[in-house]
Amino acid sequence: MMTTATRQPPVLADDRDHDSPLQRTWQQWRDLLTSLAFLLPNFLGVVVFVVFPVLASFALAFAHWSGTRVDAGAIGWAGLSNFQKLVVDAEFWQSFYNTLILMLGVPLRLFGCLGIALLVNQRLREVIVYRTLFFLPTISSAVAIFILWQALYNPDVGLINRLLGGLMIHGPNWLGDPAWSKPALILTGFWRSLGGLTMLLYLAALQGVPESLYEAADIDGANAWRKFRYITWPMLRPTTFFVLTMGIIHGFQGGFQQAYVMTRGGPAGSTMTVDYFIYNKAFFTDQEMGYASAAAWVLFVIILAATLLQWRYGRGARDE
Amino acid sequence: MKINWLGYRPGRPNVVQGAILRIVLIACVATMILPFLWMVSTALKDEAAYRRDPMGWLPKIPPYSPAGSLSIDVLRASTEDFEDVLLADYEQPSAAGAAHPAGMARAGKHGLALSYDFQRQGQPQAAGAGHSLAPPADRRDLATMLTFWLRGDGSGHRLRVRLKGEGFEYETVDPLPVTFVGWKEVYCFLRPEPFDPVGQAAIQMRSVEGEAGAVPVAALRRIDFGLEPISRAGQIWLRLTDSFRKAWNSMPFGRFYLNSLFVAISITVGQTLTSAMAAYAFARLRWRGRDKFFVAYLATMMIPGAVLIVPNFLVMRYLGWFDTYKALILPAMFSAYGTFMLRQFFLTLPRDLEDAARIDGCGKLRVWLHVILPLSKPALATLATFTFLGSWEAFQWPLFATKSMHMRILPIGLSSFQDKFSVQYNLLMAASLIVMVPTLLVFVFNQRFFTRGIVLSGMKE
Repeated sequence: MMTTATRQPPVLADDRDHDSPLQRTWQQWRDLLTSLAFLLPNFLGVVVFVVFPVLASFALAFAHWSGTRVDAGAIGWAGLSNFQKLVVDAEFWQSFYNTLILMLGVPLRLFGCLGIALLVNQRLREVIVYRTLFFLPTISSAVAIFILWQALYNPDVGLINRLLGGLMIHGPNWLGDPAWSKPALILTGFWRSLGGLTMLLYLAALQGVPESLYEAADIDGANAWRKFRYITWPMLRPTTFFVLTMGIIHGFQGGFQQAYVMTRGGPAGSTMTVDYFIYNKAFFTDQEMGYASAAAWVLFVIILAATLLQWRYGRGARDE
Repeated sequence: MKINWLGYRPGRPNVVQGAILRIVLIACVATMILPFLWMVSTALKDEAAYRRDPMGWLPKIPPYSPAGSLSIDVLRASTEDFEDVLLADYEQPSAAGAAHPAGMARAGKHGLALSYDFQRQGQPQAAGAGHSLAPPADRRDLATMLTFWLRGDGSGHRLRVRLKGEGFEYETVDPLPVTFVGWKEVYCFLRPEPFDPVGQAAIQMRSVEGEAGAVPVAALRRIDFGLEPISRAGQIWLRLTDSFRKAWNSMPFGRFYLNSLFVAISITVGQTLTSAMAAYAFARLRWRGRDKFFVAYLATMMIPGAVLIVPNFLVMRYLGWFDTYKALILPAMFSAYGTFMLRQFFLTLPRDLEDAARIDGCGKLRVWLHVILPLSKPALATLATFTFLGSWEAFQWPLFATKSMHMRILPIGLSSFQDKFSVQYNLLMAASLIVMVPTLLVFVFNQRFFTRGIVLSGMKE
């Protein structure tokens, strides 16, 4: 029997002609075992901490369970009742509405980041300084930033209302007023992301636009706006598509951390997002693991549908 | 004078264009930086400065006072059962009608005066005042703590306490800087371990004679107070760092840092290692159904965290791992993302080197270890960086998976700090800076590396 495949110089393990059926099977088994050994640590982890929880969550969505005891009496079959309850749960729909409104920040961030990218793309000697400064909010601890903005929004001692007061404007009670809490969170998110990942992606994309296109446009006498509209913006479409897709996916399942630190979902539930609603049901108020799981699955289906829709209608941008 | 605002500009802008660009950029940057400046200026205020002017930009530091006077009043001993025994209630006529802590009824009264004049003698000397104690002789309880009210003058001079009794003597370990103005309760701990005084003024006492620990209330005989001078620079430093010291002392931020480091490093090492192994199996090893299996693997990336957290939480609880490092580390360690990213990178590596290694007699493990991994250093570094950052900033899972203070990681610890001091913005900003600044420095000094990594992978938020 061949000890190792590698003893025969020109023949390599992966694409060797096997001599006999026996050797062939042995080799296949050995390859399979090696692959398995490489795969196993990560695979086991994914099975235990991703695949099993997904199945468990699906099962839980059809059960009543507070999660405190494992005996038969504590877990009850719920059928579809969790979902039925969810459909008429005004709190859930409010959180869904809140999530959608907060997602208005996605296009806002997109244009802000594009603007900053255009600015720092200019060839100034000290441009790296500006980039670093724009980058600061993104790389600062998120909790610290949210605490900072909670202080800035304070109606009495906060910086924002003080600056507004200087302009003779009486600022609102930002985080205490349901009408202003969502705009306040969007503004914080906007500020935090301005110099971050999206800006860097746009910057990289801008630098990938061939200069010859602009030179040709110059010859045609195109003005700055037309060059942007007909050269830059179309060339950035793949980036825009990526940023929007990721923004929507993250937007649907995000918002917990910001709302938890800045408003605790308040005032009057006006900043409670869907994932906050889920955690609230599971951990904070009710300990209804089944109900929370049902809500999580509804969220999953919504994200999936939104992604598929966008994938379908954003085809042009995606394929470029 | 045309600036190509809206597109890539091949050449350098001329002087005028550059000036306009710079004005716009500096205006934008200023808006971005203003909140940080407010943060720092608020954190630099001590309690007195914050109370006096919570909105001002610069903390006001009163002139240096080498001479002045403090007052002490309502001296009590706290017993093991949290009972208070009144030891002294000084009633002296007051010069100024300072507001008294014990209520309106006592207004106009003034405690034991502690006057000092460090300039008069030429040499700094400790001013002092003492008081004999006569506690009720029938108290058999043990005192663990002395409390008294102190009217500070914000001078920053440091207060020392010495406590004598029958067979024991206690002395201050670290004198208390009197940075506050007005009445405040001071805690003197006789036990070796102080409890968390929540940002209050506290003095840790140490036994110089007799046994350490609790002392019989009835045996207390004399208490002496002494003041030590402080320089002007020291006073300014004390006041500017007051909020930072208070924030640091009221929560175990050191522990949070260690937890964060340990958890993030463990997750990073585990994730990178197992992902690199699995990615090799997907990219280079051949087995039936590999690519279909890979698609299934990728599909797990779409599952939102909200679906996973509830069952993972329950699993942790039933395994008894809730509130342990295992709960913080293990569920966060495995994801298909790392495998995906590294597989894509491995596919781009030239096969020639591997083939050469095979010919030289390397097995699959050695090819992986000596050829694939060294060639993939940039991809491994990018994955490791993102994994580390993700774990360092993780919030939801560490919030639900732990309960006790000593298991918290930085973001959760900071969030708990916020719960405790909800509107004391000087303390909140100081704590936020404590959490933020070290991380920020690491970033700023490695900025090129991070931005390149982000643009290269371009996938993860």
